[in-house]
Amino acid sequence: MHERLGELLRQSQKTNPRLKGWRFDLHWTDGLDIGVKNNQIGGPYSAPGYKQSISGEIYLVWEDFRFTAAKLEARVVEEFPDYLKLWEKTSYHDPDGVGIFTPASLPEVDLADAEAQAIIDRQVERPFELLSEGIHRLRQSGIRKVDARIKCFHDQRHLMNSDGFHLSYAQTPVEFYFIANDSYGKGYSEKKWPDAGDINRIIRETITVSQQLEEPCSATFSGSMTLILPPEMFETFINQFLIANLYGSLVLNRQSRFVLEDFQEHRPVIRDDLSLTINNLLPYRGSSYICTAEGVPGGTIVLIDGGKLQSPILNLKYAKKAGMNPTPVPPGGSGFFITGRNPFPQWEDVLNTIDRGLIIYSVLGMHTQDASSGHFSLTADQCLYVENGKIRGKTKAVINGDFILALNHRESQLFTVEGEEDNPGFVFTANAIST
Amino acid sequence: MKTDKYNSVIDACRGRGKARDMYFIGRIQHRTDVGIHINNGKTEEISTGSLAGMGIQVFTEDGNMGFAASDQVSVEVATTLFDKAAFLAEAGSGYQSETNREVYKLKPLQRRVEVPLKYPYDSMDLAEIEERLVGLNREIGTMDSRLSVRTILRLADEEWRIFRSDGTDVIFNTPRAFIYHSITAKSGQETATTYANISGSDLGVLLDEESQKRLKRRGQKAARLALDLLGAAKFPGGHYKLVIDYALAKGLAHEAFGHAAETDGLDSSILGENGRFRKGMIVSDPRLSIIDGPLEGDYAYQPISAIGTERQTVRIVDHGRLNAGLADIFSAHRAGVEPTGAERVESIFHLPIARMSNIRIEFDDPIPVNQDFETITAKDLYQMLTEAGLMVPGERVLYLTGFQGGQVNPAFGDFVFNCSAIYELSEEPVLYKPAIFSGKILSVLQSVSAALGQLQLDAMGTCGKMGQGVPSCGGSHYFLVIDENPDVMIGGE
Repeated sequence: MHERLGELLRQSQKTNPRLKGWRFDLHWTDGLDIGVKNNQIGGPYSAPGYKQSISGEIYLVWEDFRFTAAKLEARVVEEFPDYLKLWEKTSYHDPDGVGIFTPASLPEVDLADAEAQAIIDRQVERPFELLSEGIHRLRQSGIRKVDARIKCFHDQRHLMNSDGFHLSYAQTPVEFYFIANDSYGKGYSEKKWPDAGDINRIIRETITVSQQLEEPCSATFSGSMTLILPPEMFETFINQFLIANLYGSLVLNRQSRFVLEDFQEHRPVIRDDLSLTINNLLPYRGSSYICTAEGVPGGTIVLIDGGKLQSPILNLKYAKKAGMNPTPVPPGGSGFFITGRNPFPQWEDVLNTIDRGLIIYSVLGMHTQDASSGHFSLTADQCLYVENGKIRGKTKAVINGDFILALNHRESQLFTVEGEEDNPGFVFTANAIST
Repeated sequence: MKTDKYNSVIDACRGRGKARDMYFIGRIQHRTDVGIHINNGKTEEISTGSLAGMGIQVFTEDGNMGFAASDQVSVEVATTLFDKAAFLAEAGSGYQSETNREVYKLKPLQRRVEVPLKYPYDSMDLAEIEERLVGLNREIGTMDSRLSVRTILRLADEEWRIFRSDGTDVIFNTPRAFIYHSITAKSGQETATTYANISGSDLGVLLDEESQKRLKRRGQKAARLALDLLGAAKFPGGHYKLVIDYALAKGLAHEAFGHAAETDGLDSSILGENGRFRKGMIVSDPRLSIIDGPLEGDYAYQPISAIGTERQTVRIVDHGRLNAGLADIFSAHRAGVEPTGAERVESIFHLPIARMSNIRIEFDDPIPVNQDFETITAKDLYQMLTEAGLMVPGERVLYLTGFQGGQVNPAFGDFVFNCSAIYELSEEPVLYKPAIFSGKILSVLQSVSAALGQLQLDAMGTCGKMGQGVPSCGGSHYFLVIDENPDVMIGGE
């Protein structure tokens, strides 16, 4: 279909002088999606499913700075003349709009796994087996209720543009998670079938934390408190309060915490021993890709270096407006890495130093927070209370503070957790009230 | 209607169902949408999209299920999908997958519901729509140089055809539209973002005079609030007497009761006991009811469920007593309630789950208010409350305004929602930064003690559950008064 669509667009460009350029990003996707609800595979809400789709986006450049942005779907080739008319009719004038971009070179990164492909094609029993194993082990460890889901897809991606650029490659996104007792869940999201070590780590961690969350403790507190964010929760906070403020469209439209001058002047915004990097070239990672829909190559870019702003996350339009280079983007809020000048201590060593704190495994209301302000006010509904370096049991709290301020505090600490190589965890002080 | 042309696809599914001796539910979706995005007075993007696809859910005789979906609709695709779904249903049976035969109890239905649109999708030239939106955006942005404004118009023309092996064949449309302002005030390092929106089923959100007036007032009010929030202090966290506006009341109904009353999760919901709905339990003042049901012209309107049954209006709480669940066919019997046609899906790629539509809190004998909601200030509200004897001068009462979304864990009975701002009410109300409202499902409604004003049911949003986002809406009287409650906390300094 992509070849035909490319041909139709080339022909249109010849016959319609108003059409100056085009590009599209087409995905042919198919795969399996199987769930577990209340200890059982399948059922009405998570029945084993097969899904196939043709989707993507098309961008057309017309004369007089007019542009079209549209979603692609399966009927586009079949009904091309109607679509082309619609696309021209729905074009818009944008003096800041950009033309077609062709990358000088593209990175190589492994994104397709033969094992995942075989599962979609003929080994459908393997996702069932993975789920069965998880249910069995979690139930054996005393977990009352197991919910889970696995998705294994094949995505054939085709990018073409009017300057002759053509890239086709396959990727195999695989995701699964287990949730125990409605309180704690852990997941996997890569572009390959998990190995036994990955599966084991996720099941083991789900068991350990959910068992700890089964032991209530009667702690009462109000006021300043040490909050401990495990790596995945730290990533959630980073996404909401830091990454969200780095998008060029928000920065240049004064809808971010930061303005363009902050980047040009490399203003310090977090502690000077910390850096934030995007890297989407790691093999088989869920966040890895070869290039964006615009054709911007994936890569590694430092957004914050030694605490100082370096670059917003820029698509072509906002790169042009900012007078800076376009950047890779963190897809779905992943693929970013917080690093330190010095190695971070191990979690076990940090835990020993905490007099009174909360390990926060779940918060309610993160999506309701004003990202631009940096302030958070959340209910931490699944936490463990720590006293004198020991975990005492489960508690709940309303927590409140300024996350960006916390990233600047000398007293805030980062720590590494075994098996969680991507990002550290975070220890800081904020307000907490037990509920 | 657009899906009328698929009779041969339905016949093919029926033929396949007979040949394989399997029950099935098929869904065909047709959707066209357009989004216009204006940023600080300039068009950022106009995007269009369309989808025509189908999903088939099949059931073996013993109740095993399989599902397959594609964004193509044809006899060949339908046949392939049917066989894939049947294969997966049979594969699942080897892993003790959950069985459910409740669909076999359904009665066939033939219906067509076409919502008549006053201002349909293509009733206005796109350039004119764009120009009007730019005007609306600039109207807010030019109020103050510290403001920046994003305005989004989204229109969806959507149609469904749902058919089953028992002869059911229903067609209905679910058109929807909204205009949404995101308003950021920025001064130095301080920023605050507020929102204003208006929703409906068609371009009336932009063309109808009353809608325009209302959106303008809401936008101006939100812009002033964003500016006032710059430099506002944080309020100390704790338990307080509260007044919430109708949009937050929708959040309360939606998060605190709506989700917990969805019977597909009743096994672990706090409103269930051994999987049975706790009907008859007293949960609030006898003047209070919570009702969910489709309203024509509403953003979340859906008259027919995703399995092809009629959606009912349900009194979840009826004058203080827990009365009925939002029940889908698969879980209703187990929960001990009647099915209410609560099944919805985001798209043909999803399986039906129990969802809300328009959910509202109604209170008997509300105190009348002779003013439009949008024109009422915190100072006006203070006057209304003191005149009605609902607060006395000097009493500490917080007014929470502007719904920013919420979340619930029905298994533990915890819910939260967030506001745009908090006022401490007095002759001269003092503004504070927003803070999370967190509560316990089983006790929060007990503290709702009064309501002011008429019903306003257009607080729109997108509700996420099990990876599916569907339009939601609702509201209440202009204001609800919530007495201080140890199980209701305002997060804060």
